Amino acid sequence: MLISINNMAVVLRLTALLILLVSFSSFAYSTSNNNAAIDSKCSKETQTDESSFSEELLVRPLPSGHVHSHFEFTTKWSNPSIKSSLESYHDLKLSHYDLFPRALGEVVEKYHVRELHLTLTQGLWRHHKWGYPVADAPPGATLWVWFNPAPKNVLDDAWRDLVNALSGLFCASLNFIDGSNTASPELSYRPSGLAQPWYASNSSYLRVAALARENVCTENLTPWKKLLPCDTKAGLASVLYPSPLYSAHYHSLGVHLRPSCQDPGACTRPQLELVLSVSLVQQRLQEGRQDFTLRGLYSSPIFSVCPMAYKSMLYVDVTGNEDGRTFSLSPPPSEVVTRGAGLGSASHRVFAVYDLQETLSSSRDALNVAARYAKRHTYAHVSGPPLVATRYIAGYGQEGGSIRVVLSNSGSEDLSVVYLELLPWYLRLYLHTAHETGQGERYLSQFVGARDREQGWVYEAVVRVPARGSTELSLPFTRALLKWLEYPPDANHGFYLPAATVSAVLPTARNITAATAADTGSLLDKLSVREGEQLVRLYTETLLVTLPTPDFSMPYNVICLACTVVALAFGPIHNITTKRLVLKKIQPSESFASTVSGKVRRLFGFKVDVGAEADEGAAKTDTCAAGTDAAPVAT
Amino acid sequence: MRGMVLLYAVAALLRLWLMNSATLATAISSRVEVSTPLNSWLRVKEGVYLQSQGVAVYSGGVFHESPITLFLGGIFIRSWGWWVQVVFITCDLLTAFLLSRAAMAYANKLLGEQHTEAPRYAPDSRPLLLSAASLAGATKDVAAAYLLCPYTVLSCTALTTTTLHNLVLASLLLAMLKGRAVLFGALVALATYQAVYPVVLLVPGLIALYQYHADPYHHNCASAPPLPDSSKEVRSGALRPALQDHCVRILCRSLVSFVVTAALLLLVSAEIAGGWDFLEATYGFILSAPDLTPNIGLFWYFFTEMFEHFRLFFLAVFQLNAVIFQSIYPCHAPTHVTHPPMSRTYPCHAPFHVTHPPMSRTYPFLRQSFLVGCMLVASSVLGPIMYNQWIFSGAANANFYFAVTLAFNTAQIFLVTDLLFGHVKRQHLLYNGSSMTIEGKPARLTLE
Repeated sequence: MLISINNMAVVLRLTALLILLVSFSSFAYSTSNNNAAIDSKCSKETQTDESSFSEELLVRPLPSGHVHSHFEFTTKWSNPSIKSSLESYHDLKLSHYDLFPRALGEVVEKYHVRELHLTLTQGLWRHHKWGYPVADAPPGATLWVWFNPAPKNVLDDAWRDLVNALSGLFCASLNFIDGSNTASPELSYRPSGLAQPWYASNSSYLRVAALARENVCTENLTPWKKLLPCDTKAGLASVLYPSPLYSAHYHSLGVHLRPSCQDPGACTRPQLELVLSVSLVQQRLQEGRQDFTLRGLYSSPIFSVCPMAYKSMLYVDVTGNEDGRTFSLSPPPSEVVTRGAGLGSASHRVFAVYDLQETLSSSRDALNVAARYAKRHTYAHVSGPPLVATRYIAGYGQEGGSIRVVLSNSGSEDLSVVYLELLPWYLRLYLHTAHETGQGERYLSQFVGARDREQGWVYEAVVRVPARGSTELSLPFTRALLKWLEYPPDANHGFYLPAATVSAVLPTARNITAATAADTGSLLDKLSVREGEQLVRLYTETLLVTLPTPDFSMPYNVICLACTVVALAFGPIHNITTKRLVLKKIQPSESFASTVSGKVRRLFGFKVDVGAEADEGAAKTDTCAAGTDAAPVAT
Repeated sequence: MRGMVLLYAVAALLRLWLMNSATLATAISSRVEVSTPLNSWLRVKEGVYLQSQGVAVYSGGVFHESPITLFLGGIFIRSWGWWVQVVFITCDLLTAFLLSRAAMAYANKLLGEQHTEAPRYAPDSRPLLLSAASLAGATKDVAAAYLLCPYTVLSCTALTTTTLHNLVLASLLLAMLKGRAVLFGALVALATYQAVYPVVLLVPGLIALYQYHADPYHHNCASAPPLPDSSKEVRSGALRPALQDHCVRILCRSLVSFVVTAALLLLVSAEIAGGWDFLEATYGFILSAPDLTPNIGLFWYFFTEMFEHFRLFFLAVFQLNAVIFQSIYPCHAPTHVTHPPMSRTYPCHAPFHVTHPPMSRTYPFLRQSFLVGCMLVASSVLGPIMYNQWIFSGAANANFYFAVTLAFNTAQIFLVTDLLFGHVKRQHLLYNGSSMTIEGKPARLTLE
């Protein structure tokens, strides 16, 4: 039994490594080529300073009746200085900004950043209904950054300063990120850009933090828009009006900076890539049909393209609607692009492509693509993607509880899933019960215990999820009582726990929407998924826990009462232990007040305790009768 | 004799039954009155699990037991899982046995003192004198009180490590009363190693050891230098230099034993824990009280509501108070090793009740026994109710539970001061008689 458990643990450990490798595999070849690139650097060097900007929009009707729009604005920048600092893992030295936003560039330069991913999201992506998104993001703010190699304390300082700088840049409360909610998980967040294995496997250069309570609104959108070369004056960004954005079911702002490669396939020329993205999920059923128009979705058609963009594209996902029977598009697309390994294969995708530069230059009208459905939308069971995670809190009361996670795999192969939980210190986790039951089924790849007010929990485990089945994980916890000033305003509302991260390698590309590799240069590249294994990273729901609260209105009372009790102990004990009992004559002249108070005390049968008696300096008579009367008992 | 066997058997069966009644055992072990962050078995299991996974146990904030507890706990949980209950019950029975032996030793000591001091007692103090028969009964009561006291039963049922701590305290007490200086030093070191506070027992303990060895009554069979006709000298207060040297040497031996044991324990711990992190996680945790989970003490709510810039000051005041409380009190009446919850950072019910019964001779002098009894019963009953109202049903807030803990602590303080005053008063009456008059005029007893 023991041996088999050990074997299982070894197997899971191996799968953990496998996941690491597969997550590299998207750029593994590129790194090997990268070595070659470094070798042949002298022979083949591009001395030009190139930067390019492209804007793309994907509109994807979802089977649940919703429409998913994903805007992506990509800025790429390469020059010898960037190339050499990316290859040697040194800090970027950026100068002569052209299309790349200077505000962000300066922050990146200063704080040793190599790769930066920030998402600000409102609403929850419903995987079981909507499938997998282009890039998943949990509710609230999430920031993960790969730094250039440096000692830990330097990176800790850089991280602290970086979150404050970004907080100012995006008007978000990222300054609430501190040591207690930062982590460096081993498996879940590998670099998405160019990285050699020695770097990508060293998670000490990584910092991850999430703020689940962060609200996203226009004050975040405005600074985000300012990072675009055309701002909102022209191009796709000009249709990003706040009201349709913030009335959507889900919307997510993203800033993704990473080193990528300029030449697909060979990957010899590294460049800096900044992807600014907005994802929206809306439902605009008209007369029961899933019809949508650009005007209906964004309250404006597309008037213009950004003149600085070398490419302005609109894609409509028409996979499964190649013949136009489900819905028809007007005006018709410039071309229909088919990707993947042929009809029926897992990677088969079809997109209707509108080249906006061409379309808008040929006609004077704005482009208002409309999709017209043949039938009314029927609400039916939507077959979800193979791996779905649900998380909730079990238990009652404010003492303990447990976080339950159900990982379901509807695919036909067993999956090894990396589950990452970053929890605040005020929950106290007990792992042994969680792992006692499923020995052999799960392997703890990283665990960092929380320290009060300094460090949060990091729990990363590799869990096996059987084919056509599910695995339940239960993390029991107890809740701490905080100091009264540590509670946020409206303390009884509770505390949000950040979403858990679920990473897995799916056997086929069937349900994958987009896959990011080191050489994917545009949104269409990402959407054209390759056949075979695919890495997905999902986020679960955020949770709300209520902690027991003290009474905020009476600190003084509590301090007074507790101090009184302490004094009540100290006074008499000090008196009794340092003084002697002696007989003293009673002075006949008792004042009127003391006689009365003595009588009142006797009336209530309350004899002042010995301490008080001693404190009063022998004001009280002790007749001693009780002692002597009862004394014979002792004999 | 048969009665005692029956008592131990009943106590063991009671504990065994409670431990194996599924719902009761879990309900008891999750009570905040019984399990604190310092002693809960859940945390020991968690620590053992984490260590088996190669996680640095002491860098996290969950495990606060000593490394040796971790090591032993690991052995028990991994290899002898079924014997854990038996070990805990055995510890409890052993504690009761050691306590009754300690009570017996103390009774002998009291009788000895009474024998030597008798000529100086007042003529009318006869009713106050102790008799061997009544003390023999009292020693049995000690075991019974420990074994059947609901608090100790609950504490043992919840498998709290306080049970082990009580065992060390009881053996420490016995060693002290039997005059085993080296053993006493080692046990104080062990108790201190477990929970910092017992270090203050060193002072009253050394005083008691000194008294023991300076008292000729005990030298009938002791290996002390022969003291021809020494009793008169001793009574006149002039200790023979040879005897004094002997006593001092014994005290030094005790101190050396304390230091050596403490050093050994710490070194072994550092070896087990793989570093000195454990000092901060165990002793730092006890002294700085960072965990404000409700318990029956005063610290949690006080420091929840404390203003941050006064925190350190009040922490120092409270801890100083704890030291005074726990050292001066046993100094005065050396056997009464009590740890009233009010003075500890993470108190639970069990330790308080270790050694009260030997004080039966002062019971007649207690003036507030009814009040204290009512307060203790009421707060023990109301505590869980108020806690449930606050945490589970949301019908009350923290103040309700805090009020109960205040009442509980006040009751304990009344009890302790009452016992202490009873002791002082009995001494006074023994020497001065029960007459409350001076030259025929009424007088009163005052502390001066």
